[in-house]
Amino acid sequence: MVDWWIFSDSFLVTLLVYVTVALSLNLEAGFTGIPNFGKHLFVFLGAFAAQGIGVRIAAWVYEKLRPEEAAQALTDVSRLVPGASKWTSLVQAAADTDANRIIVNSYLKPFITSNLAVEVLLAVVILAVTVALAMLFGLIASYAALRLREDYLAILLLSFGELMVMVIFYQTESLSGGNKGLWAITFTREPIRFALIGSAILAVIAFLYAERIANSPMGRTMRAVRDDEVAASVFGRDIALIRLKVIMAASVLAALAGFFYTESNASATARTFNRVIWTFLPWAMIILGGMANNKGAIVGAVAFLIGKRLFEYYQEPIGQALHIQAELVGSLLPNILIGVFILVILYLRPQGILPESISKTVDFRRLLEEEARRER
Amino acid sequence: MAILPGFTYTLNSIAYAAAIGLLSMGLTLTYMTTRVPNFAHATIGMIGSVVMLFLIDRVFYDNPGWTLFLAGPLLGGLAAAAFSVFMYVAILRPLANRGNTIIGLMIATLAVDIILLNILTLILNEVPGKNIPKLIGAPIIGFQPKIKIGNWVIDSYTIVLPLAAAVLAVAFHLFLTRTSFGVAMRATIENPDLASAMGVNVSLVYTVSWAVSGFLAGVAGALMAFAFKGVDPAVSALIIVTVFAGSIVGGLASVYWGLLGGFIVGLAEKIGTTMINNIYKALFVAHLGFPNISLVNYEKVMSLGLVVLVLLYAPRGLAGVDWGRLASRLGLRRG
Repeated sequence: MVDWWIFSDSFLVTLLVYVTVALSLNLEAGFTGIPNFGKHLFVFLGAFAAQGIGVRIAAWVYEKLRPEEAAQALTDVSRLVPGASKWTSLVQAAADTDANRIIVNSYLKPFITSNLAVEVLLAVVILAVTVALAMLFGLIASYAALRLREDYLAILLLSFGELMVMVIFYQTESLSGGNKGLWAITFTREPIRFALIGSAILAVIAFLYAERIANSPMGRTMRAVRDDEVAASVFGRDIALIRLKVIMAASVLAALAGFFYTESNASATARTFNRVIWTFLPWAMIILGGMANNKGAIVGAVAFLIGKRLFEYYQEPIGQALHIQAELVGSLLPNILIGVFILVILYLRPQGILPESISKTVDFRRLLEEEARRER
Repeated sequence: MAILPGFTYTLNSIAYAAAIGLLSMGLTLTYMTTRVPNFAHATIGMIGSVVMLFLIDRVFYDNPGWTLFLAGPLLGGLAAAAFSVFMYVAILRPLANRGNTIIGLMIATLAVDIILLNILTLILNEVPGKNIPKLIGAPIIGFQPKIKIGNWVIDSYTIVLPLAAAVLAVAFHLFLTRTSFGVAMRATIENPDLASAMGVNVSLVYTVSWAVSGFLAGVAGALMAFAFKGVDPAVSALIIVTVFAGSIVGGLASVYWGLLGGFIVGLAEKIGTTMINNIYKALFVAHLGFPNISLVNYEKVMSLGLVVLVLLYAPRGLAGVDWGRLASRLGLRRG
């Protein structure tokens, strides 16, 4: 029997985060037909707001509010970390790969958790930064989406995501720590609880929002754009505007999910936000659950993550049975299986477990009754 | 300070560009015939690299010579072609027949990419080398015949790769124009229904186009293996970005423009970035106090930038540009 502790708090956060990402991808790909193959970038933006930007803001606040302590911190760190004399301010040092861990864990975290006002304000600011970053990059991505066919768009979004995450953020050490990554600013004394509650609220909001949109006139317009762009534009719908709105909203959801994921891990490295686990896996989830069905996205996310977790749990016996090193079982075999699984679903049941349902409209009999009542 | 890159670097860049050109050519071909952007294309090329690595380890370890340069690309190309055909016949065609949309097919190629990449990585990790102790990441740059011109020692793959690209392009052109099957292929690309009505076996043409595409990728991959510090299939994740860039710059509508587009993008990525980096170092860092970072790491920005430029100003790629009209407008030609 499985030990239940393998489904820990951090697993629950991962689950809720993936539910949110799958829901947001479903808004784009399932309902509007935007093949977003660069989803990992938008998830990473939330992580970047929590680490690269978050530590800088926190260090800046620390310097402003407690200048003596900050100066002391800087001299302490300079003594501990070799070659540290190059930093002129704590902000600079906080985002440096060598000094980041000490500054965040020994100075910034105690400072933040000791002062409730600072903590709340900082959380709000970093969340706002996450939203702003997501909207900015969503705007850039939708600039291409306005004018390209879906196959070109898929290529461009994939290239854009890969370029930003693997080249810009990964190669530039001063942005997000490069190869080593950075420790993130976490909140409360139990960050994992904060992440759990936050991601749960986010997942619920994402589901309610997606359901509401899907069953609104906007949702029906989105499906019309997906099914026949020309027909939708003939009927006077502004396709560019619809795509823009959808991409921006979905990007914000994905980035917030990435933020809470980073909160639960307390650190993030650009390289771990790769195409396989943050673009392909959410795609796999919505295909399994059913494109353009929000409940399906949740079902897909839960099914995939539980399967993946069990696989990681049993990686040693599986590795022994197949004569493969256990760590390769954990990292390579799940990817192969997910790939095979997707092909099988696409072949056997392209519509997924829960097929797309007719969008709920207002009950027309009730409308007639109201109409009759008004006339009386 | 010199703006132009060094001689060896230029040769390496040309070889890289030729490999990207071959990959873009194959990608364009399958896109033209079956309308699927193949996200697994670069990883299919990696099959060629893996075959090359195994050939060196098992057969040519003691006497690597020119036979290696003949056998490697040929066997690597055939292996990649076999996989490519398998991918089309056993995966994509059934999926298309089941009524999957273009998005479904793109996801399927992504799935194949992930499966193939992880299987290749698994093989290189788990299969013990006969002579090379650890196959994954093993550098094979030393296993090539050296060409000496005066004091210069040239990596022979830098000569062989562009030559191979040229030979394959000419051979493919002859195939398209001089054989009846090539004519049938062109007809199918123009209008599949009409070609089918005229008795062309469209499905066979599609299969052959996937085979050719895989072969080109395998040849490129086998020779490109020498360019990297070590053979690791994971490099395909970034190569595919450049290959798509090359195809889009070419226009995804002509195989030759695909080859040229890939070549241009590959050159811009290597030589263009180096020149910009040299200018940056000489001017901005030395005189204006800009941070001393290496711009060479950001070479992929170049390829995506070219794509953006092409999509903005020539949405149908270089293949769609009316070159005669452009020349006359620029005053290069009358009329």
